[in-house]
Amino acid sequence: MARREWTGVAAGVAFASVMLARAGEAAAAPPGDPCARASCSTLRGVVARAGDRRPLPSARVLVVPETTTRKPGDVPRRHHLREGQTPAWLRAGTTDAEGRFAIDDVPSGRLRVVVVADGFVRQETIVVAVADEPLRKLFVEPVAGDPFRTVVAQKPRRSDAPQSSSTALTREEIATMPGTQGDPLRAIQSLPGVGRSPGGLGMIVLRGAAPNQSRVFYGEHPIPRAFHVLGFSSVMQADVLDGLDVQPSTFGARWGQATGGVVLLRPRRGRRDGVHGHAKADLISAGARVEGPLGRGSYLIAAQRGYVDAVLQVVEKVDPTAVFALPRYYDYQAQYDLHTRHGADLTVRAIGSGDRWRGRYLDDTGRRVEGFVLTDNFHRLELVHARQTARWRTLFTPAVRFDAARATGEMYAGTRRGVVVSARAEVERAFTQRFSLTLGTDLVVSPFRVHTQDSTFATMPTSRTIEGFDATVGLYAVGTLRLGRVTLWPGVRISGFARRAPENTGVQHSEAHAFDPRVLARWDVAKRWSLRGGVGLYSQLDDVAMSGSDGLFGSGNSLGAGRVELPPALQQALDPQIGVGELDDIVNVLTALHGSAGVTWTSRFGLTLDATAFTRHLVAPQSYVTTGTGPGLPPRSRQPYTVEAQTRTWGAELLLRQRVADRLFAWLGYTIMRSDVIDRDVRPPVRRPSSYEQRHNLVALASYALPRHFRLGARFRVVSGSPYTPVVGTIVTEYATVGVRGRTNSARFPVFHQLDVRLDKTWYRKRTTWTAYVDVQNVYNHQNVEALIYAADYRSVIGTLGLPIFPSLGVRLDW
Amino acid sequence: MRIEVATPGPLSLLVAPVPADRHRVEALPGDTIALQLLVASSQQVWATDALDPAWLVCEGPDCLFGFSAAHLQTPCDGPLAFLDGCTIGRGADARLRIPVPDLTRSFAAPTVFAVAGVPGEATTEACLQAITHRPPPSLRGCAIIARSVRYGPAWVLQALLGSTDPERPTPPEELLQQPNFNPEVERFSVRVGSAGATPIDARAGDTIAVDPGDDVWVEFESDPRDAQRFVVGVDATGHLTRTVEYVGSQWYASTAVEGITTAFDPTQHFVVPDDVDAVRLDLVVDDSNGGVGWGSLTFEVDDGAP
Repeated sequence: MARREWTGVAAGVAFASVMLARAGEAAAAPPGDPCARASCSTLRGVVARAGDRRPLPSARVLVVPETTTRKPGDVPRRHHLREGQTPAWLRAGTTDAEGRFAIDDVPSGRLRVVVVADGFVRQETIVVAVADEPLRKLFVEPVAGDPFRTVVAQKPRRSDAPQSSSTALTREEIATMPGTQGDPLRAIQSLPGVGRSPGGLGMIVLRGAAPNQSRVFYGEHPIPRAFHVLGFSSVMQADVLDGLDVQPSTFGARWGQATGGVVLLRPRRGRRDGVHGHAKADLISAGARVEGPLGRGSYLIAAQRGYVDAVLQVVEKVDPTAVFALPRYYDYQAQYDLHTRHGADLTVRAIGSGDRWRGRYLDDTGRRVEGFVLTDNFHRLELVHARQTARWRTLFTPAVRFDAARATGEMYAGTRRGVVVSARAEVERAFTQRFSLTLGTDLVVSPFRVHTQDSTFATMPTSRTIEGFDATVGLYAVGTLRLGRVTLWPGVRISGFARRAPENTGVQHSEAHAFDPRVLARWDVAKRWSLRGGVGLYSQLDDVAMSGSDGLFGSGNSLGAGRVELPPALQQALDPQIGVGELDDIVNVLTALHGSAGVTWTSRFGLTLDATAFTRHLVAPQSYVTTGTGPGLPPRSRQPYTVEAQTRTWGAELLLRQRVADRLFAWLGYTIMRSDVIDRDVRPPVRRPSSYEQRHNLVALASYALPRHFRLGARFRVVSGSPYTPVVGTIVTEYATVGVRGRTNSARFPVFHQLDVRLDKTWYRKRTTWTAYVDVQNVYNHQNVEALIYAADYRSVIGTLGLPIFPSLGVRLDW
Repeated sequence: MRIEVATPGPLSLLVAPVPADRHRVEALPGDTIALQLLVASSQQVWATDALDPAWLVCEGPDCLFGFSAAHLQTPCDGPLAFLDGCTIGRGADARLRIPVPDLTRSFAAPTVFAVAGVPGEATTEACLQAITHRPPPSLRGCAIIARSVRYGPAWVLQALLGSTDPERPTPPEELLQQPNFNPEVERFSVRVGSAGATPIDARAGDTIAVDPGDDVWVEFESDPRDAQRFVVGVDATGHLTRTVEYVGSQWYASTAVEGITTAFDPTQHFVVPDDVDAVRLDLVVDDSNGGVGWGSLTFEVDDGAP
């Protein structure tokens, strides 16, 4: 008879059953009772997952006598117990929630401890048991080749969270998603409703809304920037997050100051089961994290540093003719969580981010000269106090943020500094099983100081300092009403906006308010069917921050022998937006009407289908005042002149998702969308595609755990080409050849398509996990067009810009 | 496009004269300016007559695309016409009288546009029609050359507008200096055969006989007067502030010739091709104060027949 090895999950459970059955037979026979010949005691120990040392609950622990002379320690798989080997006796137990087990009537001496758990490789260890002494911790290795437990979830964290359409990503999904280098905000770009970021740069485009119309919240407060310079990375590591929610539109009244969508980053508490952490390094950055218990609470500290500049400088040393713009960045997150004796959760958190980008060129002598330096930093300190009882829930969180940005060129310098104070206070009362009400307020006050110096004209250097503030205050109420299978979330948000930037002409128009009713609903039609929808108004103050690049990333800039025409979306992605442009007091409030309706169906085999239709109508006023004085100029205007642009967006999303245990997660996402800007300032009104319209966006993604702890993933994207404004002619002036642009966004780049592949390999040790990965973007090196390079005289297109094949290698240690 | 003051107006009596063989770049109200055009690329120089350009005037660098069909019919007969847009006719060159402005209104300098269809690609009429659409559908085959009229000297304008700073009077050196004038292309030094051959002195417009395969070196001999020095004011310590013009040059050829590029080098070397009857080289010089001049040399290729 062939010997059989008991491996795998099902086989492990079967092994335990067989052994337990035989143990019953053995126990019935008096010669098999070990306590008849020796003293017995209770054998205690702890079972933990290898690598991250998490306690393993519900694991079966079997103890049998060890009959070989093998040394104590882990038993190689080839020497595991086989079917047909009947032990003289057997004792069994099960681990509790803390991974602990206690098995009675176990004799001292040489024993073999077998641990069998669902999803883990069977572990056999030879031990020498001493009466009343606990065993050393036992570590078992997961079956799937993934250091994380991977879960694809698309349901709200709380079943009654008011959101009509939302997609959640877990930290584990983010870590293994191909083409994202494990970055949390790059990961959401694979979801339907989230647009492809032009040039692969850091932008969040939700249902066609411009990036500055959506907000990213880290915890309860917005962060000023989601990505580091050039979109190399988010301003936080995925490991500090518990997960994130993407609500591309029709979100609840709890969130304001956004007419697009919101991305909610959920910070994670530090672990209390020991000191853990990670260290990682790849071609562009290195990062680390450490967390553990501290007093009655827990701490978590993480930081990362990008060193693309150092890599590029090595290239420059090899090639004296090479010259690069050198980006560098860092970010950090630190928090302490405490569950107080009064039942409240207290969190103190500090986060920060900094970027520096040095643009250089070769001068006539071949020397590298700095053309511009852009820096942008923020640091935030916050406190979160939350308490929940049977009927009440309260939240109070103040925060203060320090912003500093600087743009320096050969002829100009601009700085912007600000101290942003924000707060949220909220109380929720559950009146009955069917009805609860949340009342809250939030505010953001942003005093700023902008200082600019321009020495373009040496004989007339100019200097300008503006001090002012932006302020938004919101009051909101959200009800939760459960009517059988239907749940309604009616809500309202009242917002007040104020601005003071005293460089205007005396126009007193610096305050505004908005009243935004919203209602969201979900109907659980049947066990596997649910309908959801929402409609509401959304308002936000327009951005005071303006271009900080002083035309560095405008259109028509020289590149080699040509001129680069950057589409507006790419210009905005590159621009640091640090606010050294013209400012005025005028409050322009953008208003949007959102509507969405969708259906969710789940098959019994784990296949889930989500289909959502959405619409968004944005009204964006832009006001001007006449600020100049002098002979021949009209007098200062008393009232601002306002033009209005409207954007109408409608479309549909489809998400087909499949998950097979922890081995496979895959989805197919498709978005069809049309987004038109209607310029009513001209007669007849002009309708044109918005800069962020991506009419078709298809994402297919799969990640599969292979044997030997390999994981292979791939992502394929096909997206309509971005609109751009073509150059239709030229004017030759005495200074240069100037391109004449045709109808705005009247042309499109070719269809974008790209395949990204990622391969992970994990090595499990008892207390650590090593992971190496290769993540290759644009595997077949397709030249996707993100911008055109025209000849210097604009008579022809001589090239294009796009991301070539981009491999990234990384290694990571977890403990 | 070259602009020169062809007929000085009454205000020009206030400024110092320029050399007899030079023409002022900057105009004053009441002057009449002459407009000339050279349309060239590295491989071709177009005859201006064949282009038949239309000359348009409006105020501001981007004003061309505010033109309507009505503006194309509006003659430039006063400052108000400049504000919206007007036309000064068709032809290889044109003249425009700078009107005396209404000083209570904007005093921005007008921009002159020459719009022409490149023969074989577009007609001038089609180009004019395209620019009246907003934005234009396509300007393929249209040559559009723009040039803003420069007003000056600055001290005359300041006096005219009453904006002279009494604390810092204009120094007499500035009042008496020669006004800004266009550089001219007049003389070349040509060597045929080898770089060490005896140079031939040639003047703009001359024709030189060469054989196919000849090596030809052409060097532009600039006139030092064209790099003008200007007094532009007095600094805080009482010293005069001066600037010096930088004069650059650029070559164009009537046909594709190996060695001829649009380089800025004043010396060009080329090999005479054997498949053309003549090679015409045009040199455009410009200075850093808006002055432009050009001139050409024609190399007639001997066909080698006995």
